[in-house]
Amino acid sequence: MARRRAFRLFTAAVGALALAGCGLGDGPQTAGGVDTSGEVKGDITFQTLQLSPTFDGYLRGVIAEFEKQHPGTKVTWTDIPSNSAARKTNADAVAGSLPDVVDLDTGTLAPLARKGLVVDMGAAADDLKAGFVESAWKSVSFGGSSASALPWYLNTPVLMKNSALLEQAGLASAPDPTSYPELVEASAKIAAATGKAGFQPTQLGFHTYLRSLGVPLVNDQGTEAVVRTPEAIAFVESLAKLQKSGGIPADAVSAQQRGEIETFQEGQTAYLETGGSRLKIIQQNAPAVYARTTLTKPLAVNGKGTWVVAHGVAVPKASKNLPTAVAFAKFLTSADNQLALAKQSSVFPSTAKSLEDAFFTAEGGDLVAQARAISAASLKNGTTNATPAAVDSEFTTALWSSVQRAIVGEVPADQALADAETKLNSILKARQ
Amino acid sequence: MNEQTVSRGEATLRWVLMLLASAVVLGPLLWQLSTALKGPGESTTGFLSGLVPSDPTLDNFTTAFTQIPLAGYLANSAGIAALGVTTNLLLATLTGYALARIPFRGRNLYMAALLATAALPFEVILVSTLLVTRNLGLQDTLLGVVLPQAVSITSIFVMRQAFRAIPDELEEAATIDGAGPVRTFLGIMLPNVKGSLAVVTVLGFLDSWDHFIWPLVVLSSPDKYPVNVGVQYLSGAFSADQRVISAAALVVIVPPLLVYLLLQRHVFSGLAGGALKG
Repeated sequence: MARRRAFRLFTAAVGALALAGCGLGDGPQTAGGVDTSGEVKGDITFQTLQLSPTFDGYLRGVIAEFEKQHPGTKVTWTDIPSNSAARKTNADAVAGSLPDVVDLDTGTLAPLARKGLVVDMGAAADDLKAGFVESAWKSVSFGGSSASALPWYLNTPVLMKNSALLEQAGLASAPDPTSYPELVEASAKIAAATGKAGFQPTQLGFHTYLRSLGVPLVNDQGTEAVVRTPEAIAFVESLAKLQKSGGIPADAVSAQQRGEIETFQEGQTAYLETGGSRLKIIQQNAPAVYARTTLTKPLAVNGKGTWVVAHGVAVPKASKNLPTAVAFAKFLTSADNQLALAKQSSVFPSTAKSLEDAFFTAEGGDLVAQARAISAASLKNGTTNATPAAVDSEFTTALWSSVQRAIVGEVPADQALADAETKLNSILKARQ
Repeated sequence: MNEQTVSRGEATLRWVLMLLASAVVLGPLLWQLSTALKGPGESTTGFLSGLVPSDPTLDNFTTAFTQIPLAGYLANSAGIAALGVTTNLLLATLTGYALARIPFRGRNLYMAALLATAALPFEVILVSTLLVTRNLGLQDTLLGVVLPQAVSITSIFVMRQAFRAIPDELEEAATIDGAGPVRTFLGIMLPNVKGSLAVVTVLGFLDSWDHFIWPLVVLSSPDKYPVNVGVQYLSGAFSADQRVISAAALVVIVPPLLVYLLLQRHVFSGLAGGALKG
C-alpha cells in the first residue's frame, strides 16, 4: 500500500516537473508541431519493451535493412524489461533522456502525449494512416487526426474454456457465452454444479467488460467520465450476486489479486478471456489444463466489439535527429516488417494489408493457430474497440477500486459507480 | 535454563512453535525449489500439489543461464554490491563516529535531519536524483548506480549506537597513554565495534543487491543491468516458465545468503548491542 502511494506521489511529481518545464531536453519541447523533414542520416537510439532475447534476430535484421537502405545511418537498439517501464519512461521524459524511437504500450504513451512530448504522427505520417487497422490507429490517437505514435503490434483476445470443468457442470454442449451477461449466467451454473468459479474479473479487464456492454467510459472529448449507465449498474449487480454464490474465485476481488491466468491454470475458473499469446504460458505451467483447453470467439465480438491493445512506436520531440527517427518508425511499422514479426510470434500486425496473409486464416491446427485465426478475424472484421486514450492505468485503477467494493457487497452497485464517476471526473479535470 | 526443568508439555509446545516458524519461513523457499526442479511435463500450479517433483531435473538452472546472460548480471550485481559495501562501511563508520563521540554544534539537528530523510520513499526523489546523476555525467555507469545509495541512514545509525556504547573511560585511558585521535579511532574504537561493522556489511550488501528501480532508470545498456533487473527478462508476455523463473530466483538469493552465513557470528554479537566484551 505504502509503495503504491509512493508511486502515485512520484507520478504526480513527474507531472508537475514536466508541466513546469523543468526538463533538460535539448530539443524543442513546445506543444506545437515540429519539423520532421530533412535528410535521413546519422545516429539514432531505439528502445523496445522486452522483445529481447526472443526477437533479437528479427530486430537486428530490420535495423540492418534500414541502415542498408539509408547509408550513413546507425541505429543503436536497447531493450528494457516491461515491468516498471512506465517509471523509467516517465523519469527519462523529465530528464530529457528518452531514446529517439520508443516502443511503448498505450498506457505509458498517454501521459507523454498529453504533455506534448512526442511527435504527432497524424501530421508526420499522414499518408500512412489509411493502411492501419482503424482500432489500432484509434488506440494511439488523441482526438482528431493526431496520433501520438505509429501503431505497432496488437493483441486481441479469444475466450478460453476449461472443457473438463464445463463437462462437470453439464455445460459441455451448451452454446458458448457471447457476452459478459451470458458469461455471468454460465458462471452461476458452474458454481452451483461444481463449486468452482466461472471467471475472474480483474482490474485490467474491467473497463473492457463495460466497453463490450456499450458503456462509453468517457465522453468524446475525454473530459468527463461516463460509467454509471443502466447496463453498467445491472452488470455490477450481477457480479455482486455471482461473488456471493462462489462464481468468482474466493478473494480474487477483495484481496491482493492473483492473476486470472493463474486461477485458470489451477483449474479454479472455467473461462478466461485473454490474448492467444498466453496459451504458451498455460502450456508451460499447467500441461494438464492446457490439454483440456478449448477456444471460442471473444465475448461481444458480434455485438459491441471486443478489446484490442496496441503498442505504439513514438518519436519524442526532444530527439536530435527527427528525420531519421521518423523514417525508422515508419520502416519498423511497415506492412512487410509487421507481417514478418507476426509470423514469429503470437502478436498481430496493425497494418491491414498484413492481415490478408494466408498465415492468419489457416483452419484447424493447434490451439495457437486456432487462436490466431479467431483474433485475426476480429481485427479484419473491424469488431475491435480501441480503448479511449483517457482510460489509462490511473483511470482503470480508480474505476476498479470503486467497483471492487460493490462486487464484495459493501456498497450498492449504483452508488459504487456514482463514486467512481466522481473520482474519475476529478482525475480527468486535473489533466486539463 | 536447565534441561530438566522443562516439562514434557512445554518441550512439546516449543517444538511445535519452532516447526511452525520454520514452516512459515522455509515453506515458500521449498516450494520454489520444488518448482525449479520440475520437469517440463509437470504442472507448476495448485496449492501444495506435487511438492515433490516426479521428474526432477536441473535443466531449468541451465536454461536460466542460457536464456538470459545470468552470469553477466550476477557479476554486475557483485560489482555494485562490493562498491556499495565499501562506501557504506567507510561513510557510516566515519559519520557514526563523529555523531557519537565528537561534540560539535548542531550535532543533534544533523542527526534529526539524517533520520528525517530516511522517511522519504526513494520514488519521490528519483527524478531529482536522476537529473543530478545525468549532469554529473554518471548515467549508465557503475558509479552512478552506487553513489545515491553510497551510505544508508540505517548504517550510520547502527555505527553511532555502537560508538556510543563504548565507555568514556576507554577513550580517556587511550589519551592518557598518549594516543592521538587517529590512533584512538583505529586502535581502540574500531576493534570494539566489529559486530556492528558486520551488521553494516550485511545491510549494505542487501541494500545494493536488492535495489531495482534505480539501476533500471539510471542504466541504459542492458548488459550493465544487475541481476534483479536482468531476471525480469524471464517473465515476459510471450513466455513465463515458472520453473526457469524459480531456478533463477534461487540463484539470485545464494550470494546474500553466503554473505550472511560468513558474518553470522559477528552479526549476532552486533545485534545484541554489547559489542564490548565484559
